[in-house]
Amino acid sequence: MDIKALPAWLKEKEPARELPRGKAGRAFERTLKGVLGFFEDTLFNETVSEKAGFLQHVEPRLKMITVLALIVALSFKKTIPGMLPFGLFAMVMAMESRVPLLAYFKRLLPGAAFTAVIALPALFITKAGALAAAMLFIRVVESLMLVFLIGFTTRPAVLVKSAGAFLPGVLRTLLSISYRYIFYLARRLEEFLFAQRARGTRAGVGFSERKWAGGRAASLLLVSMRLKDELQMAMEARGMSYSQREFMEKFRFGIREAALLAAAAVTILL
Amino acid sequence: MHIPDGYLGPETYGGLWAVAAPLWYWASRNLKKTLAVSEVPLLALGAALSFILMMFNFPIIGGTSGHATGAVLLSIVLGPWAAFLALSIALTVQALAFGDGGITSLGANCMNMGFAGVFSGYLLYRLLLKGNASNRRIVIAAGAAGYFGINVAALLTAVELGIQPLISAAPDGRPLYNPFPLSVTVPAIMLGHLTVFGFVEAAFTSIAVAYLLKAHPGLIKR
Repeated sequence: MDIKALPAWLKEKEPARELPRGKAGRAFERTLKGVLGFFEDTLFNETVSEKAGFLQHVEPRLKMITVLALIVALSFKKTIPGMLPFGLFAMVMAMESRVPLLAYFKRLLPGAAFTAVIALPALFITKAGALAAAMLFIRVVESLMLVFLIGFTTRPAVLVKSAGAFLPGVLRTLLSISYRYIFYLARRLEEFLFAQRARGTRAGVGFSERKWAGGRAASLLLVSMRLKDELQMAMEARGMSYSQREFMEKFRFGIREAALLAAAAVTILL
Repeated sequence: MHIPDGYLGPETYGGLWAVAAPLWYWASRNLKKTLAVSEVPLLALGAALSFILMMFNFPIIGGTSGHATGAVLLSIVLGPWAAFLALSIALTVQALAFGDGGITSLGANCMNMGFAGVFSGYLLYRLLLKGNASNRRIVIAAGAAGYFGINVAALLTAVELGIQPLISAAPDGRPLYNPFPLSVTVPAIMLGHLTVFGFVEAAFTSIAVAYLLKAHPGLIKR
């Protein structure tokens, strides 16, 4: 067997170490959790976006612009009653789009908890402070509810294409290519992490753990460099240029699009 | 350090979008002129890599860990303009597809982490490398640049958040967005970055650069 074909971790000469316990292994576990969470979220988005719901069938570019307009409009609202319709809009749209509500709220939780912690001290200062904290909390949570609608109801590939439609040539190409390779590099990182775990080592403790993490980041950079050459050859072979236009379906405007715009307009005006 | 939607008022996020948009346009035009078509994949992969680098939890002393941005690392390999674009794309994907960082505050996040973080770190790196550029010096300069870059980005974030009560208040004086003044946001954010996250970024950048100097020295801009 060709030694070059072996994965890098099998060729490492460092002896296996005992798994660090407690705080020492936390960074490793957090990175692993982050990578697994990324794949889980993407898979979940993909699954929900395949459902036969309302927003799944709306023209993606119009959906994106409408949601962004709602988030901007929400940022201009200066009272709590003025902000509440946006949350209601998001809830109705999520239900009509068959988004599992438990998962929807679970996804909101980290952002909501973070803001709750930030806003907490303001609650105890004055009545005005409490009102300011409540407004911040509602604004942040409702903005998240709106933005998650895009991810949940648009297939990732379509989402990137739709976002690219608003960008100039070279940025569109960069966005399109980079999105595809995010998954490849995340998979490589996952492999690094699982390989370490399978060998019964994390990365040691202290300096060796830092060395491991920095080394893996640099390894990913080298992987990117190697991929770059392959990608460049593939692009040249297909005669691609800087500002490659992605194939987009023709813009459509029907009853669903009109209904979405009407609902958004009512939400903004309420 | 990602500012979510709702923390910045329209005056601030609008202003930062107005600054960021011409920079993106200029950077993409500049790259189109100076960059060979063959380097487009490198930039695209740089953007994908910066997304992944933000997933890394990097350990420092006492079991404390934090996320690195990889901003200075990318600027040392790709150059500052390319790193700015790469980080902007990564932040856009995070905001749109995963709700990490806001849409309205995307301009602010790109200016703080992508522009100020990258350029301040890169300038310090270049400054520290003037004259002698031994490998040891490169590693130290990269670490110092990483520390400086992330702290500049954090300071800008703290200032943008801290000015909200001054510029975006209701007629009764009640803050409409982030309610805490500069006297709270600057120490709250800077303390963590000066003592923890700055060192995370410094260690991450210098170790990655040391690895590259060994494995692929041609990639490091001297």
